[in-house]
Amino acid sequence: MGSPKIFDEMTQSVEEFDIDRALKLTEIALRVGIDAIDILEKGFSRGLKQIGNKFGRGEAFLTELVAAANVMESVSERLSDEIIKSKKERELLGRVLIGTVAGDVHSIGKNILKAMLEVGGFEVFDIGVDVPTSTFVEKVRELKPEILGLSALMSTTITEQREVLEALKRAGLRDAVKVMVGGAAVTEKWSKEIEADAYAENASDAVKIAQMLVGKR
Amino acid sequence: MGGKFKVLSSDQIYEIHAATLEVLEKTGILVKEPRALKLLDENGADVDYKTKRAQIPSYMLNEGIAKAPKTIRLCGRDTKNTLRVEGKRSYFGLGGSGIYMLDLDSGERRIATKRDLEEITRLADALENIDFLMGLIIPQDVNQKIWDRHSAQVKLHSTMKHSFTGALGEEGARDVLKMASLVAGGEKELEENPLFSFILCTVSPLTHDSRNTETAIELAKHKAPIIFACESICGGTAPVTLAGTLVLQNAEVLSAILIAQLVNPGTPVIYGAVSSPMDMRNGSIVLGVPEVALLGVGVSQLAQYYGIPLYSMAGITDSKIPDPQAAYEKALQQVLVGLAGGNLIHNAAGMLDKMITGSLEQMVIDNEIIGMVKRIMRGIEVNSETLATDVINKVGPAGNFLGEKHTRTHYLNEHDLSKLSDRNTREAWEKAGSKDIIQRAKETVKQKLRDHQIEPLETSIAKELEEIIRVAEKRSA
Repeated sequence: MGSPKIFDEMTQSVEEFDIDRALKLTEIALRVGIDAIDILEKGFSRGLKQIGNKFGRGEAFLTELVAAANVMESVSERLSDEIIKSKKERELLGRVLIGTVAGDVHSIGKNILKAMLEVGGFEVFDIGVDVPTSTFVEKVRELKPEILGLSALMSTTITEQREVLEALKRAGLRDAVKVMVGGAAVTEKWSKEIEADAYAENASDAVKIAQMLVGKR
Repeated sequence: MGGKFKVLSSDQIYEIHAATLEVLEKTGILVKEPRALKLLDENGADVDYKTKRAQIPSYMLNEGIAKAPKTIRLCGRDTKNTLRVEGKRSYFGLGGSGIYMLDLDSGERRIATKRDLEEITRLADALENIDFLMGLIIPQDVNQKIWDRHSAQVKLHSTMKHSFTGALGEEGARDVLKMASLVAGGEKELEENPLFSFILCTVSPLTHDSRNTETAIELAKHKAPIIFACESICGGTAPVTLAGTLVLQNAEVLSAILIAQLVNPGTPVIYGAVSSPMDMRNGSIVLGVPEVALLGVGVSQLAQYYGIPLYSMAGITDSKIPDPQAAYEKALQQVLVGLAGGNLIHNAAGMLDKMITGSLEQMVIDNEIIGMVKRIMRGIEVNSETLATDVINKVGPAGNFLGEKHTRTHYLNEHDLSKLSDRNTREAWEKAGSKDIIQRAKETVKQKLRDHQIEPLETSIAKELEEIIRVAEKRSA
């Protein structure tokens, strides 16, 4: 059940970066009894995929990608309760938890990655900047992501990435999650030294690597 | 002298200034360090301690700008290397953010080491057009919690020129200042003849983070020269428009300067502008683009408007290797920002691959480009001597000027002689081995590193520097 027309309008609202319209359509859809997962998958996700394809063809830029992802996030937030109650499953590649490590407040790279991961088919939980090691561990335990992404911009804060990996080991959670590291001061050598599962030099590569890590590439 | 090239009219500069005042009054800044927040509150800002937001009224900002010294002397171990940083005078130097080196022999990119830092420093000391140093790279083979102390040690040993350097937190600032004062001959001597300037970055947009502000407070107490640098990304952490980036940058840097003046009025401060655009096709910052040159010129004009010395950027490339792309990207920026009078033009020599790879041969090539830029900046001297009517009359029609005294007297002053660029005939070039500029640059590197030595520090001082590092290592464990 679900009129194709409203799904088309939802797709359009993403392509037009119109959060207000998207939320209005969401309310209407819920009122007529459309399942939250269908709203996301049949309505809004299609818009995100279209923008993602345009981006891949060089017809849209990051600024459009992030704006489209923002629409998705607003809708997902509105539907958080309904999603839990739904019996359907989202067609996602996996769940990614990302954050900037303790002592580091830089976020732009992480924010770009978040948008690109969402377009790339992942569900992303961004826990912000200057995140204490213990919080990373707690959130891994709570959210059970397939991938944990650690961002650090400065050579003085990349050491925190090692701290998180050690803390995961101590908590018995190291094998429960794949850990990716990134940031301007991070090198492949460093990522191997700290025994991260993967390293990416930029957001596009990170998405491809994430897809590989969950076995979907 | 610079200042000959402008992209902004005076009206436009005023508009940028007015927009900055609006941003600081209406939007305000985030100040995470409690002492700084309190100082702002006590001196007229509208402060919300919960959100750590400070809104700064224009009169307060104008007072801060007024207190900042209009001219700063930066010194090296040799007094002949003193820089007078003021007005439209341009100096050129290295960058400081690399973590990789392009290996001189293999051409491979590898991790940068303390040994690389020593060679970079000594080579920069030898290159005649490099006026000030930075580390070019951060040595990756030392304890990263105290790399600032390692870097300071190398610079104090290996150059007689002024150096910009890093300081990690209050402790780092104290240690590095102590090291420098040992070489300067005392704390007071260091204050009068600063061997180091310190670079602290704001976090865009509009944020002064705790550690950098804490470092600034410590440095301001000692009146050590501080460069407050904004490294925003157009479209990411700054507006996508160039004018908007100039406004944001202005708000961040001027408010940082204000805080330093509140801590200690008259603290030598330098306006730092290192913003660059983002390539929205992939999220990377791009550096070799014309927009960076435009920002560099615009900010030079702004700094001149305020009368505050400027740390600008020019000579940066997205190319990974010393190739034609590196050459044209660097040259376009260096000549425009030089002509604009960008005071301390950093990243001008040695940097490749945005700002992450250092290269010794690129340093030599950049030294050559900078030499050409400096000649352009000197312009054309017009006076009764150079107008040459007397000698024209003497030589007359169908004569020649070769043997004339006028020619002998003025030749070297009017015409620079290239050292690195090949200006021979094809035959001569082939006879010399048909070497391209990269080969010639590498040979120059090897020759300079072989022949150029720095006056060693006294053994007792060298030992004390080592001791400061040893104690810092222990503390950091």
